[in-house]
Amino acid sequence: MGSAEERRELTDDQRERVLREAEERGFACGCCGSGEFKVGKALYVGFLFLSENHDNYVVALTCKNRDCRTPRTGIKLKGAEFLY
Amino acid sequence: MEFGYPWWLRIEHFANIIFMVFLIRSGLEILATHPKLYWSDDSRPGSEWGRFTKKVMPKDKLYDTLDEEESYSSLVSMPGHKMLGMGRHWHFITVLGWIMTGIIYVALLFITGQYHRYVPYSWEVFPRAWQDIVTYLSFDLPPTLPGQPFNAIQQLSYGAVIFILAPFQILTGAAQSPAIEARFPWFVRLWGGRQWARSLHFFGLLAFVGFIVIHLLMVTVHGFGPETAKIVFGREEHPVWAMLITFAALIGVVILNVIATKYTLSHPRNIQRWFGAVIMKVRRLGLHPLTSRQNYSKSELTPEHRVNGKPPDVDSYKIMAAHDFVDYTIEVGGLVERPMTFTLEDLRTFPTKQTQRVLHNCVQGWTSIGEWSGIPLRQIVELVKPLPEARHLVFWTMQDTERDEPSAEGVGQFYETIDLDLAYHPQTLLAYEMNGEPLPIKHGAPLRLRLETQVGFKMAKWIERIEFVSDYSQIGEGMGGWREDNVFYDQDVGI
Repeated sequence: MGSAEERRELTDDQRERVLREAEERGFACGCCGSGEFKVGKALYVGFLFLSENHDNYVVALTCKNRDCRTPRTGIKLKGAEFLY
Repeated sequence: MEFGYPWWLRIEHFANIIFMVFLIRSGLEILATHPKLYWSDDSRPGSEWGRFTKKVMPKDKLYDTLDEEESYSSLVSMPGHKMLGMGRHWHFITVLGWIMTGIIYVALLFITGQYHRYVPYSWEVFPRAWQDIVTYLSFDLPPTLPGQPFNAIQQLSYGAVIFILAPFQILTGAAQSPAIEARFPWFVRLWGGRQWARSLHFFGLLAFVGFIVIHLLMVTVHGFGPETAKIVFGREEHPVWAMLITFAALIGVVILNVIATKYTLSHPRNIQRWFGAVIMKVRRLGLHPLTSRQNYSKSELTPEHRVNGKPPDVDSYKIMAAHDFVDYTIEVGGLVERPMTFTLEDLRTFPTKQTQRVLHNCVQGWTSIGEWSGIPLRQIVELVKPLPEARHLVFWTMQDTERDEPSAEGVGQFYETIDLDLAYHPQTLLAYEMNGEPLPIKHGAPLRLRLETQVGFKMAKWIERIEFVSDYSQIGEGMGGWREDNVFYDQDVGI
């Protein structure tokens, strides 16, 4: 698996599903507490990391609060939850 | 001239028995760490022609070559039980003694004229050697050559072992040194590549084992008492005493092996310090000054470069990776005039990006060929300006070995040290790209070291901090790196 296959760009629909999942889980920015995010790439972690289940991804989220000091965060999702 | 069995020949013969036993056993320990043999420098999984393991690797999870390591019994390997560090120490210290003994032996052969016994001066020796084999197979003893102590097949066999097989093993062993390969890429190509050299080295081992078995059989066939008398007393006298002394000597060799093995398993740190003191001096003298001059072609790149080590299994790293390492920074400090911090973007925009296509040598024996791009480390060194007392660089990584490397012995943050002079080598690189793409996570993203004259474990991956120090004895167990501390490798590993 090269670096290009490690991270994948998401479609608009997939991004929407990620945001929906984040909202349902009450996911908030660890720094400022905001619940509004921009969705980035999805990193497939199921293959690379020992502790991860086979279908796991970490999706990059960027906090939309301009004053947030650590805006880059991520949410762990199963591929089946957002990649369909 | 008279071909006898002078005292020096008999002493060297006995020393050789000890050396060969340790060389073979420690060689098998080294083989156990990657019990597969290849013809291609790609070492592609599944392409091995020789396989000495039943392990099957998973397809749905990242595995590394530490997972492929086998644990052999101490009955066959030295010291056994998956201790590559100790196997390497025994192999290298023994090979030094073996080579020195061999040089003295060959010198004395020529000084005294005894070498004539091993040289076939007539082409007739070759058909006679074949006749000798047929004679042996007919359960009879062939006659010796006129004026010689040996028959034709003995002369050819002994001559081949001394003047062909022994140098062959030394040269194929040297061809597996990353320092020699990096400085003289033609030398490793001469053997057909690094994995050819490793495979040929294995065949050399088989040839030695085969020779020893046949040699012992022939001694028995010719008469154990009279034959051992020649090598014990120098002439055919007191055969019973000769046999008793021979058996006692062989029991002594076994006892020596048992004691050495038990001590190595119980006190590996002492072996590492004692043997390392000798081996490191030789390496620093012979291999350390060699600089890498490799430039493999694009067509030689390994399609799927093998992996060792597993990435940091922690959410902060995964989130950083998901964001293409935008938040990554590396600190460079310690004994420097100007401590600095760089982002990945800082490193990428350095004007002196360097690309090199090189052979990667894992300490376990596999190889792959990769293209690496990044910044020559010497440029970072020149920027931060080491203080006069700085002697080594410590590469601290994001890897927690207890969490990330369950196959490895030991715990704690992974780190490695290198000597400062290696940082100035022309192909010592802080690499952020591999094969024209951002460095993959499994190969150390976002930043790893490339140090082409050393084996792979020195090339720290997932680096987060570089520290200049005067001495590493207070870091970890004080041996110069996590693997040195925990699996007893040497700090300088040009072979």
